[in-house]
Amino acid sequence: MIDFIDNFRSFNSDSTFLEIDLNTDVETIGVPSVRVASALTLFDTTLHEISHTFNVVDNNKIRLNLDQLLNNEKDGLYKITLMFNYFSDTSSIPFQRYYLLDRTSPDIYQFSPFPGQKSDGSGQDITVNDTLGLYITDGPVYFDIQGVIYPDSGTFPIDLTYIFDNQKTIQYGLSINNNNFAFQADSFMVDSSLNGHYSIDNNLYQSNLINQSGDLSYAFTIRDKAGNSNNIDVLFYLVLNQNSANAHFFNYPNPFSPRNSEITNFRYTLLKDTEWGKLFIFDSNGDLVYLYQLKEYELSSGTHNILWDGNSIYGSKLANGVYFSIIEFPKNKTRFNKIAVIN
Amino acid sequence: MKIIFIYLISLPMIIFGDESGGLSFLNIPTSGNSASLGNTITADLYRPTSLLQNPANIWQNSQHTFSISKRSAITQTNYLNGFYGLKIRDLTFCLGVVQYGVNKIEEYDTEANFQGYFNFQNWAIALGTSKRMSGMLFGIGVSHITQNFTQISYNKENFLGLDIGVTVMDLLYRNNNVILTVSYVNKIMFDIPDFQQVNSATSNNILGIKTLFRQNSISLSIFSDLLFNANSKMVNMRAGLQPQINFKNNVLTNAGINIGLNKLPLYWTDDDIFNDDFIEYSRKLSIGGYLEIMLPVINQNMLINYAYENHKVLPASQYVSIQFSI
Repeated sequence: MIDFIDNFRSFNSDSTFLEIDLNTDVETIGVPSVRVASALTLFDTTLHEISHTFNVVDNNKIRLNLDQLLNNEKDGLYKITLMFNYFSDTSSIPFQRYYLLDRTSPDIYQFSPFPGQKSDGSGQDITVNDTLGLYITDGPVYFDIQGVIYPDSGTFPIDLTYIFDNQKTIQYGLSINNNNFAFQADSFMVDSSLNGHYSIDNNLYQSNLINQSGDLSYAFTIRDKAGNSNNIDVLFYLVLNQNSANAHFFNYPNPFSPRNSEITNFRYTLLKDTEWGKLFIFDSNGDLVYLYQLKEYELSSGTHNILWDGNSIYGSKLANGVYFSIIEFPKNKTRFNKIAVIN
Repeated sequence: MKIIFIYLISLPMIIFGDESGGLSFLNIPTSGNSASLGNTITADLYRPTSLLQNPANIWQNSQHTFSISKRSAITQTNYLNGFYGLKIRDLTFCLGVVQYGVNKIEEYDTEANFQGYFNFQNWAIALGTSKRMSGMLFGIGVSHITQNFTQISYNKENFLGLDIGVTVMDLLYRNNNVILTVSYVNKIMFDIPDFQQVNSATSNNILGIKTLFRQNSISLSIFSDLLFNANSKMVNMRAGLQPQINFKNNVLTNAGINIGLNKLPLYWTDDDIFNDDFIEYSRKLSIGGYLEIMLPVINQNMLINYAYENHKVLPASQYVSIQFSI
C-alpha cells in the first residue's frame, strides 16, 4: 500500500518535500513516475505537466521536492499523480492526491474602527464599549460543496470539503500601557470572496480595562493551514474622559474631494449613551451648509463614524475651501474641526 | 444707463452655479458696524467697507476715507481687511484688500492616520466705483480673488467677482424725520481662466432697506435685507437695529448701539431640511456699538466700531474697526 507520509494537504515554500512510502520495493512494482498538474486544468486537453525530479530515499520511499516542482507556478490546487510503469508495460495504476499550494499570508486589510494615529503619535480613541472588527483576506481558493472557487478564474467543480476547509486561526494579545492582560486563540472562516471577519468585544475585558486610560494595543497573529502567518500590532488610545474624547473629533480623509466621489468620515467617541446628536458644517462665514441628525445607532456609547459625501443641504457639491464641523450632544459640544475640500 | 444696469442686475438670476460654500470669506462682515447690524448691505452706507456688500453704497461725503477691520474668531483663523475711498465730484472710487486664512488644518489619510498640518489662504483685491445721479447711487465692483492651500499639493485658484448695485438714497423725498433708503445688489463670480460661473455664496441677490427715524439729536435706524438664492430658491432675512445719539460736542460727535440678526431663513422649497433646527442654527445674533470722534488737532473724523457675534454652537466672533475720514 502506498502512503503519503506527510499528512499535509496545504503547503507553502517552507514545506518543500513530500515523502511517499511505497511499502514495497520499487523493483517489484516497476518504474515510478510522478505527474504534477494544476487541478484547475483537469479538463483541459492541453493538460499542463511539470517535468519533475525526485529522489528515491531508499528502496521503498520517494521524495518530491515540491518547491522545485512548483517554483514558477501560481498558488492553487494541484493534483499529484503517482504512476508505475511495470518494465516494458506502459499501463499503470495511478495514485493521486490533491494538494493546495498556498504561499499567500492572511492579512488584515481593514479595521473598524481604524486604529489610525493622532498628531502626538498615539492611536485614535477607543472605549471599553467598542467592538474591534477585523476584516481579513487570505487566498488562494475557497472550498465549497459546489466546487473549488478561484476568485480570478472561476469554479473547479469538485467537492473537496472532506479534505480542505476555509478555516484560519487567530491569536491575539492585549495590553494596556505595555502591561499584558489577555491572550486568546480562536479561529474564523473566510467566505467565497476569500474575506473573513473577526471581532473582539472590549467588554469581555472590562475588568482589566475599567478606570484605565492610555495606550491599548492588540497583537495579532493570523495563520492558515499551509503555515503562512502574519503578525500585526495595532495601537489605540483607551479613553476614559468625555472631554478628552471630544478633543479628538476629526474627519478622515482630510482633505477630500466630493467631486471625485470621495467620502469623508467624521469620527467621534461617546463614553455614555446619549439622547440626541447633531452634526453641523459651516462655511467660513459661519453659514450653515450641512445639518445631520444622528440616528439612534450613532448615539450609543462607543466610537462612531458618520459618512459624508460633501453634498450641502442646498443640493450641490461643496466648492474648494475650508469648512468647520461641530457635533452637538445634550450638554456636550465637541471640538471645532476644520474640513478641507479640494476637488 | 439704467437699462444697462437692469440688464446686469438680472443676469445672475438666470445663470446658476453648481457648487456652494466656496469663497464665503467674502460674506464675512467687513466692519464691526456691519457685523453688529446683521451684515445688512445698508449697515455701512456711505462707507468704503460697503465695497464687497454693495458697491453703490461706497459713495461718501468725505474726500478720503480709510478703514481697517479685524475679526478674531475661531482658533487658528484670521481675517483682516483695509479699504480706502476717494471722492471726486459725484464719483467715489474705492480700493479694498481682504485677507482670510485658516492655519493648522489636520491632514488625515483614509485610515485615520495623522499626516501633518496644512494652511489655507484667501486674498481679495477689490476695486469699485459709485456714481450719484438723481438721488440714486449706481455702483460696480470688481474683485480678484485667490485661493491657496499650502503644505499640500494644490494649484492656486483665481476668481473674478463682479458686483453690481443700485441704491435709492431717499425714497421719502424731503421728509426730515424719516429717511428711507433702498439698496439692491447682485453678485456674480467666475473662475479664471475658464470664466465659468461659480456660486460663491448662499445668496447672490440682496435687497436691503434702511429706515432712519430722527427726532432732534436722537435717531433710530432699522436695517433689513432679503437674500435670494437663485440656486436653491431660498429666501433669508437679515436685520439690524441702531439707536444713536448725536452729541453737541466738539470731540464725541455720535454714538450708537447696534443689535443684529444674521440670518433668519424665511422660505425654502426643501421641507425636509427647512425645520426648527435649520432656522435655529442658521442665525447669529450680534451686539455692538460705535463712537464717532472728531480729533481736535488734525481735524479728522474717526469712527470706532465693535461687534460681538454669537451663535448657538459656533465660537463667538469679535470685530473691531477703525475708520478715518478727511
